[in-house]
Amino acid sequence: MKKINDIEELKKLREKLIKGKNKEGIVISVCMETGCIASGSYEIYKELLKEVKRLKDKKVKVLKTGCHGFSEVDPAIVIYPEKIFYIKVKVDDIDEIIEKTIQKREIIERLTYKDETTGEIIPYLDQIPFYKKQKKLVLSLNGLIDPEDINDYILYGGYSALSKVLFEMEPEEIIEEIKKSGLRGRGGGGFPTGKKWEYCRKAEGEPKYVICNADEGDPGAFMDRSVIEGNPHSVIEGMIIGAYAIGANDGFVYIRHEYPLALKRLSFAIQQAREYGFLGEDILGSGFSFDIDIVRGGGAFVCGESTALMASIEGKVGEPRAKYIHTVEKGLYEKPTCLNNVETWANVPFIINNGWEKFAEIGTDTSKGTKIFSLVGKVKNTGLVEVPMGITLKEIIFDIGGGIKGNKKFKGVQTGGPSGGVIPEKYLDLPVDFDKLNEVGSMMGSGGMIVMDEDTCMVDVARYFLNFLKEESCGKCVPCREGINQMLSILNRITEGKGKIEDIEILKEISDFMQKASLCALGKTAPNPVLTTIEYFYDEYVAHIEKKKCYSGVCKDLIEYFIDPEKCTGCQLCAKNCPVSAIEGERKKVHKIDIEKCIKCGICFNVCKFNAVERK
Amino acid sequence: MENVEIIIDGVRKVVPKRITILKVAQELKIEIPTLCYHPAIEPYGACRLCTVEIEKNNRKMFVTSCNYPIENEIKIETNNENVIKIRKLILELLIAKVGYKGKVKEIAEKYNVEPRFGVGDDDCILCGLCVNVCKEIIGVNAISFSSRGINRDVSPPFGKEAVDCIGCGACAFLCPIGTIKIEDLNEKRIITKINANLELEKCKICGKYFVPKKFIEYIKNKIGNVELDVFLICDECKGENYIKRLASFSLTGGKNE
Ligand SMILES: Cc1cc2nc3c(=O)[nH]c(=O)nc-3n(C[C@H](O)[C@H](O)[C@H](O)COP(=O)(O)O)c2cc1C
Ligand code: SF4
Ligand code: FES
Repeated sequence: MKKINDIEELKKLREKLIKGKNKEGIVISVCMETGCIASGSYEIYKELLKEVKRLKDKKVKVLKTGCHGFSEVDPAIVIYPEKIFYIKVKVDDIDEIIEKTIQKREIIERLTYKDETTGEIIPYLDQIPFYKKQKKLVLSLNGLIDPEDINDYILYGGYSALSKVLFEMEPEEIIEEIKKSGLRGRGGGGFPTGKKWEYCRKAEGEPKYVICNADEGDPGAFMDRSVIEGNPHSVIEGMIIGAYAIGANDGFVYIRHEYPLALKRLSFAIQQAREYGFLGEDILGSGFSFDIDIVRGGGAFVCGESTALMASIEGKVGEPRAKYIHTVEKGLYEKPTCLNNVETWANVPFIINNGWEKFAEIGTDTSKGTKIFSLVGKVKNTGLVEVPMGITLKEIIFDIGGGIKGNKKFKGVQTGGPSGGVIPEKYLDLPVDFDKLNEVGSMMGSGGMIVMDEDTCMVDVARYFLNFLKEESCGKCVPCREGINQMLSILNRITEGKGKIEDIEILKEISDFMQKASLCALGKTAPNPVLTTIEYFYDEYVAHIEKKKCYSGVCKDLIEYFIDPEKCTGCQLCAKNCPVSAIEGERKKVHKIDIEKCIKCGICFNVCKFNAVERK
Repeated sequence: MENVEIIIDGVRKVVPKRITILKVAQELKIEIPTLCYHPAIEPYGACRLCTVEIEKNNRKMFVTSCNYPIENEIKIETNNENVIKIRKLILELLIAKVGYKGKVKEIAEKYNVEPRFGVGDDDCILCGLCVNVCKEIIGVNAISFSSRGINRDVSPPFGKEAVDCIGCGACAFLCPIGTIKIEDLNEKRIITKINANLELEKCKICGKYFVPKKFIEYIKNKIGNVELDVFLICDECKGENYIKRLASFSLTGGKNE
């Protein structure tokens, strides 16, 4: 690769790439991200490459790309230009795909997405309900470009925002542009990005640093991983622009070590950006110099917190410290530091390229642009979705997500990661933005969204998240460490049927105390799952405490299984499946469960064909 | 230095910018309890017992006084109802962890704490004074925190033995609940909790074992060719002889002779 020395050379390169692109006819894009590879996409990619090579048709190209997001149907492929979407593709399907779709332009119905209710065949990606209500800004190039080829990014306008700021904008103008766009931090706090940059620019002290937070410690979240694996250059370009605006020459990406593929693609992208001269000395001949180092995180959830993250980069123990003096003034090595989330950085090139107005026209009064969520749990279509701010929870869960699995009833949705709150059905029409989620006791967090159905016990949910945080808090400060521990003991007691009604007040008291007295946001937000479940599912706590009942059938100490003699046919299926031989009965005679032996695994309940096993 | 005007417990006061609330309070003889603070060590902010309520730009919030630097005009309440409630709960939680020990017991009694969560018997409140004094003042880093969350503890490397420990005893001196203790037996010193084993050196005068060899070595390496005898005399022998000995070093260059 030859270094690009000025804007002209960049323009020429892009023109050349576009000319080459126009010669292509059909592109088969295979998602090659951690999740998709796990479902077998690599084998499909290899086979496609082999078969396409055999075609000897220069117009057909196989492309490995970032994720299309629809995890439920992985591995999937998209065939351009029509965007034919084939799901759950197997290696054995490839011959047919080549023969029918690639050569004869026929659709193979067997491989298309079918609407579950109507049975309608939907062959094109854009028409699938999962995609219809999404709006892809950050993920717009996922699926179109090879993340390991910088030329693909440049072809679609990559690094033009950088050349624009370097030669046409003053740092203050860039900051003004970001401020006007209304972009707020996507890592959790939702702090206005432009303001953060401005504080950092104005802060006294040299050198200044910019950092990208790619720690992504929320269990089940993979938004940031997807952005880096699918389009690493968008993050890099955002960081260079930010560094130029702030006046920093050094940057870091703090990435969790469990992300080997993201790490590899990012290192590769940084290397390519250096070779082209987008990183390093005198970028594009502008006189501005900047480079990025990658730091691998140890994988602790708390290391995503800003001060813990900076301590970790400095080689110290990754635990938070007081932020009474903000990190934009005294951050990394006590120098002015601007930390932003992966998705935040990735939004920057769009804003610069299209102007703040284009960005600000998406979203609500207080939250602009889009947000990526990882939609998981009891929803039909799980996956990664990018939606405009202000979309309702209902639209995300029922239109994009396709509703609840197994025709069960919706019960709640937890947003914002382990210390987010659970939002009940009555707020399904809530427009999703930073402030609205806070108003109902939850938060945007970094974009986790866990859907829960009627079989979920809310006391157990609160217990589950505290159990996670018990191990993941750094343990430095008393309110968080000991508060979580005591709340967890109380919740354990309640789920065992040993709770007292006063316990609910004590839970609230400890929660209030943790919010006020904890050192960092982990401890301050850890009570959210407890507080929201008490607020919205109070009766469930009371049922556990006073009636000793868990109506969702989750808390083992509070449920019993028994066989209805009226319905039992004596088929013996339950007895055969019981792992502890707790069920007795002769063939064709009514069976009985020995309560003493029963471990309440619920297998009999699930296997009985006559609904004769009941739970109470 | 720049000054700012604050109101602390109703009293108007001009203080130098960036001074901590705790320092101001101490000057004014306002008592704020602390467990993880020591004036010689960088405030750690872990116990949260020194929490006070402040009002800044019409917003009320709770901050820890030991490390909050006063930047602008604020109103501080060091002992109001809200603050007391927080302190009491902290103490309850600590009693649930370690029981009535040392400074925890002392402060809990002052605050009339009635423990709702039981009386525990762990040996450490994780205030960090030992770890931080060893790191910041002594420069040895013989001990550190291990694990996260509820499993956090203070321990020597790999939970085994504090091999780098020089036996200075600063940690034992600062431990607020008496968990870290120095136990000298003839030529051996043991430091409990952190599991350090050290060989002792004799007093040059009475011949009693009293100072760890490694401590002497360490001082020698750090401050160079200073006459070390001063460290080699035990406290009991210091007295008359001690002053004579000190005088013989001519620390002031002999001008006062
Ligand atoms: C316990 C904890 C974990 C966090 N984890 C992350 C994370 O994994 N990724 C992230 O971007 N921000 C995380 N944050 C938020 C960061 O502290 C910080 O606010 C953010 O990176 C700032 O970037 P933004 O303004 O672009 O959102 C976490 C915060 C806390 C308290
Ligand atoms: S609130 Fe929790 S995570 Fe944050 S410093 Fe305190 S113990 Fe550590
Ligand atoms: S003394 Fe201030 S937090 Fe412990």
